[in-house]
Amino acid sequence: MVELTLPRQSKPTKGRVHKAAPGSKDVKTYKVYRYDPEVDANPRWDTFEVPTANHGPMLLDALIYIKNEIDPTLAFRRSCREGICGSCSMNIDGRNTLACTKGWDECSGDNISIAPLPHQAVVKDLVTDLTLFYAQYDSIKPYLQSDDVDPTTERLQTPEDRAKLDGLYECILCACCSTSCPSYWWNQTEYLGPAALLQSYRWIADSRDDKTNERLDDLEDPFKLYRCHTIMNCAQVCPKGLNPAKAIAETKKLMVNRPADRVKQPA
Amino acid sequence: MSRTTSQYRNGVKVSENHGAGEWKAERLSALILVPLTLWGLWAAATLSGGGYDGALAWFRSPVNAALLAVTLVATLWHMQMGVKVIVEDYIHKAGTLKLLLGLNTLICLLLALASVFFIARLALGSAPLPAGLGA
Repeated sequence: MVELTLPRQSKPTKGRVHKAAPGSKDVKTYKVYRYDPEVDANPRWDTFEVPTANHGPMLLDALIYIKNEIDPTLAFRRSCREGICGSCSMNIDGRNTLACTKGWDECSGDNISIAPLPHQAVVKDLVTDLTLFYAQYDSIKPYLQSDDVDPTTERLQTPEDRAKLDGLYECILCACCSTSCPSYWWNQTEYLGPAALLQSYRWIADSRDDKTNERLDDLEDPFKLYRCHTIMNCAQVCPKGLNPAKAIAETKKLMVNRPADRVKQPA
Repeated sequence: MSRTTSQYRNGVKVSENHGAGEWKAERLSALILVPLTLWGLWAAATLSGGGYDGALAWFRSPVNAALLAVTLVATLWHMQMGVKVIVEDYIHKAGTLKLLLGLNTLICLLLALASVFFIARLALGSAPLPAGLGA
């Protein structure tokens, strides 16, 4: 059965409260999910009061301030701090996004919750285990497969064909979409998830790739592709403004329009 | 059937090479049901004032009987596919999954057979129930 409640050892408890200095102005309160499997029996919610004047405009700035000045044991991933590496994806104020492109002033109130990506195993604090997510990406063969002899110059395509990749190639694999999808929560070992499916369509739609039919064969499965029930959380949370649900819908359209003699039959 | 027989490579499921047909069938049955359901609602509304004999007379029209049979069979077909997806979504224990999927198909099939059987009886002018089964 689907687990509608958290297992006992995953239920967060009340954690430590780090108060701001008396008299601090414009204080934001961050409720941060903390869990260290080596010492903690259960996760906890730590509270950090931080004056906004102490750091830059983004949530990541607040997290870096907390780590540098209040609690150096706080673990989170970050690298580029400009929305291109996809490392700092987490659940902020109830919605998956990148901490580096989300301003603390965009959050609804003065109390902001920061949790790891939902329904993933937690390695420590805000760091989740994305092994399966990357394996799913690897499984869709995310590279050009051409039947032509390797050319000595670039493989050209028309501006129109190139335009078909817009809205697909920009994906940074931050996992915000897949981990926001209820279908992925319930069936992530079977369902590829919106990120891998968008990436797969990025190669299916590429005029230079010759393995469209094989790619569709690999996707035709009641779970791998068809567990997408067009819930659309993926499109709603994507920090790059992409629409994985549309890419999945396009894949489903191609799937039924294939000539019958090109479809691989069940074993 | 999925999950109980799934194969994996590097932790990722290997394709069963089917699913597009089921996807098409879900949409096809839904499409058929749009006009049929509207017709069914309209038929029920017109039947309401006619009394018991009016209803029996309505069933004796071959068009009515055939359309109603198609409506019920399409509904149960659509229901079987829909409930199957829901069960597969939420039930992960292999035994329970197999049992519920089997029950789902069996119940829908029995209901479809019963629907066609009783509609045929009424269309042919027989009593609604076979002899010995009620009044």
